[in-house]
Amino acid sequence: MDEDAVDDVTLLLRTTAGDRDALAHLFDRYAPVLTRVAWVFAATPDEARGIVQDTFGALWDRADSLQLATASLLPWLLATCRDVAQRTVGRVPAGGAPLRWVRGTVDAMSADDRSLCERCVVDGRPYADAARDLGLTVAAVGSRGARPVQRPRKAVMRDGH
Amino acid sequence: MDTEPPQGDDLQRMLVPMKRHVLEHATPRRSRRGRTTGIALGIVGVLLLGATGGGVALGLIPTSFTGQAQAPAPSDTPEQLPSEAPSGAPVSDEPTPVLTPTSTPTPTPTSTRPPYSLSDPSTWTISGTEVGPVALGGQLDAETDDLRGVLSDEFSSCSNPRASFWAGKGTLLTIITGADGRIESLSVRGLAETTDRPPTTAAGIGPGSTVAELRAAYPDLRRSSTSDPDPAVTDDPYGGLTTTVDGSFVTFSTRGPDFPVDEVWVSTVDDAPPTEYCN
Repeated sequence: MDEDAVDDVTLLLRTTAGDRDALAHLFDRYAPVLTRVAWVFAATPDEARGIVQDTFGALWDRADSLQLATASLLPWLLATCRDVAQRTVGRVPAGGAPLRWVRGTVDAMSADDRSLCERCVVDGRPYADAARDLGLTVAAVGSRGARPVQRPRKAVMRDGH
Repeated sequence: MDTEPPQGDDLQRMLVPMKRHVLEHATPRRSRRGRTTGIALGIVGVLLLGATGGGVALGLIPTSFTGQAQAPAPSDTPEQLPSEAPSGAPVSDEPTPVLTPTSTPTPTPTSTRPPYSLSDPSTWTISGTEVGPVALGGQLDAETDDLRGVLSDEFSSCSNPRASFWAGKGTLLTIITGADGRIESLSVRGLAETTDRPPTTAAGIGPGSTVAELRAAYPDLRRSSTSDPDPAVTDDPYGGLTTTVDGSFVTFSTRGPDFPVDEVWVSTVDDAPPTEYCN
């Protein structure tokens, strides 16, 4: 199977079940953009590395309880990256600065994902609150150790539709 | 950093060891099972309270701060704690709240340090009751009024009103308050962009110390509830190594056995910092 074509929710479900290969694919998919955001928060390359590593550590630790508002994991990862930076290096620039090196990536996102990123990373809103602000419903992805019988067909829900 | 982040081959070279690190630590040991197990054991222990010294059980159950510190779980053997002292002479005339452990008192601390300088966090001592001028159990405003001019919370943009971040002079101090506004946990990290050093314990351990130095200074270290629950893993402090100082949890976190201490956590409530404060 071409893992590049596998969607985030599937990879996240596999991660939830303890599949390290799935985590590796999510790392390959999103570590470059997270590193460019962490670069803004960090004072040194080592700090940037630590922020990104801890972000994926949080993903692994919390995969079984993670609730997504859209089909993309990236907004959650960016929100977590910001939180990790806040707690580890204590420096989160205000305004649009945190996204300045990933502006092209953000602009290519869906409108919901773009708004989530702006609210979480720029405004500092928690992911769940930002989703609620946008009228999105967060949905649990799965439980560790229990492979879901059926993957959610649609992870994006607006106003319950 | 103001410089442009790496691209192309430079970025890939940076990502390779990062990916290896992430996958090496992506094992079930970092799941919440350790904490759950601890809580379950604590509940069982409470049921045995009165019969076999249930103080152990009390320490395993996270409790809300109530003005007095809940005694962390004492180890099975008498602790050989390094002499932990308050940070020398207080810089404020205000009395410092003193936490009273509810079980076995720790040895009376004997200060071996000179009085600290408020303006130099490297002279502050991390004890079980305070980090420099900031005391556990005190009200946030009262404890942080001296900090201004030394550390700044201007970058503290956390939506969690119970968490605040104070940075400066090589130090990142995270302050966690309880629902009553009293400080229940403190986290100390170093900042990379300066040669200024962050506070240390009376034993000289702080962010940047090696695991060997840590183990030598605190031979009674035990794994925190978020560490690897697998007993076969004997020397992986990832998730934190904990001791008890002045009745509080003092936990040292690293990214792995070959990495220096990157965080010192002092808490009357939890034996390890949360995975996140704000999100």
